[in-house]
Amino acid sequence: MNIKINVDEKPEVTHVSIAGELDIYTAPELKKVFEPVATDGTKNLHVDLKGLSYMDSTGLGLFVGTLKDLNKNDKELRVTNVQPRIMKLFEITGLRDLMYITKYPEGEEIEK
Amino acid sequence: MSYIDNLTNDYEEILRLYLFDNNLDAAIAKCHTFSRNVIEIDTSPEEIVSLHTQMLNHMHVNDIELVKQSLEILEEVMISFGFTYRDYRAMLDKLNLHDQELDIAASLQETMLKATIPAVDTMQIGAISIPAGKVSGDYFNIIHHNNDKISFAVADVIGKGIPAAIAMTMLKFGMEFAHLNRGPAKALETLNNLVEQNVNKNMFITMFYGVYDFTSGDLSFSSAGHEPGFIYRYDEDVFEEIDTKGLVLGVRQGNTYFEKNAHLKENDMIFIFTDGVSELRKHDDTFIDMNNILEMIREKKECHPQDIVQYLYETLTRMQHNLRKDDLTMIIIKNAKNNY
Repeated sequence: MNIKINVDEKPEVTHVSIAGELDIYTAPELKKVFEPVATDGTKNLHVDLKGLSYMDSTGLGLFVGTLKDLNKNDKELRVTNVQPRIMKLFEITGLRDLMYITKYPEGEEIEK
Repeated sequence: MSYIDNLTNDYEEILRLYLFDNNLDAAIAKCHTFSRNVIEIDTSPEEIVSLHTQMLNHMHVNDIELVKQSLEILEEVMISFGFTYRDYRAMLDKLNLHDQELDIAASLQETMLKATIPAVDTMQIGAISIPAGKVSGDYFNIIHHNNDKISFAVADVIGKGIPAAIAMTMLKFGMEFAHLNRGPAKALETLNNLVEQNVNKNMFITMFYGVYDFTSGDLSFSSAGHEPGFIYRYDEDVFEEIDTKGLVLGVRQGNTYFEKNAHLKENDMIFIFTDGVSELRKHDDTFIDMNNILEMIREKKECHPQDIVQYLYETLTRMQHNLRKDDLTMIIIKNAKNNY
């Protein structure tokens, strides 16, 4: 049950790539990365989930909270390279329709 | 040279600086680093006292005045242990407080949130909800209105402890006051607006909401981002997935929901559950196949729904990975017109 987080700061956007498992145990670590970006509200947040094999609802909750904060400042959350099992979670919960999100491996864009 | 040897040498150096070189500042500074290092490797206070005695022997410190002075160094080292001990006590206090909070949330769930299963001739209901820990994130409710209808809901509250228990209380009373005649979609809209204003930003709720008429067998349902459920068709011996797409509760104010209708014939069953069931992790860490669960229901299709959910629960907990437990909740409603 591990998570690996890489952060790459660009002038307009913070790129975060996540590998491993995002659950109730690892979410606090990712929250430390997301929260400053989301509440600061000066940059967009782009998240690559290519290496993420599992996400539970706590992880999903973190994305919801982050999205709410970013939206307050008219900033964008992009989630890319989402594995099928995790995409299903975004789809069932209807959260897919609230953000820009692409699947892995096709990189197919899903309309907002 | 081992790490322990290094520490022994460090301590000898500290004593030498203090007792023989009279270099107070250097000794105290080294003392602090030394304390940090020994605490880090979980050395006990008595081991330090023993090291101190060994060192005095080793360095031939026999003069009573020097021995007294050396105790000042020992005291300096022990101060750090005192801090660590106090940190530990503070953490224990925090844990106790956290435990008390969980107890409050658990008792809130046990008393206020208990659902009463209605007993009527033309319908059989089975329901089970078992938390993985002290407090559940799952919630179900069944309300018998003063006519031939019941409202039933299965929800998964993302977030734990008191905030989750409070959110569930909101759901319960929201359900009581959601106007039945306006249907499940309108009920979810009301609940969504209620929840959106009151939960913290990382929290949300998935919910399946159904209204079942136990005289006619008519069902209407709506879903706020909840796992799809199933209807078991007894005559055809097939499972139909039932779902309406919808956003989870608590994310967007004013969200609207879709509603669908279905009809239950005699011995047909509705099966609604939380992701603790459908996303169950097995001993080998793989996910359960939903078809296996449906097969278990098929095996027990002649039984009372309460016996079916009990059987499912027992089988699933046997299959479940010990460290990957989640709350499990299931409801089965059977059209039992002919059974009386």
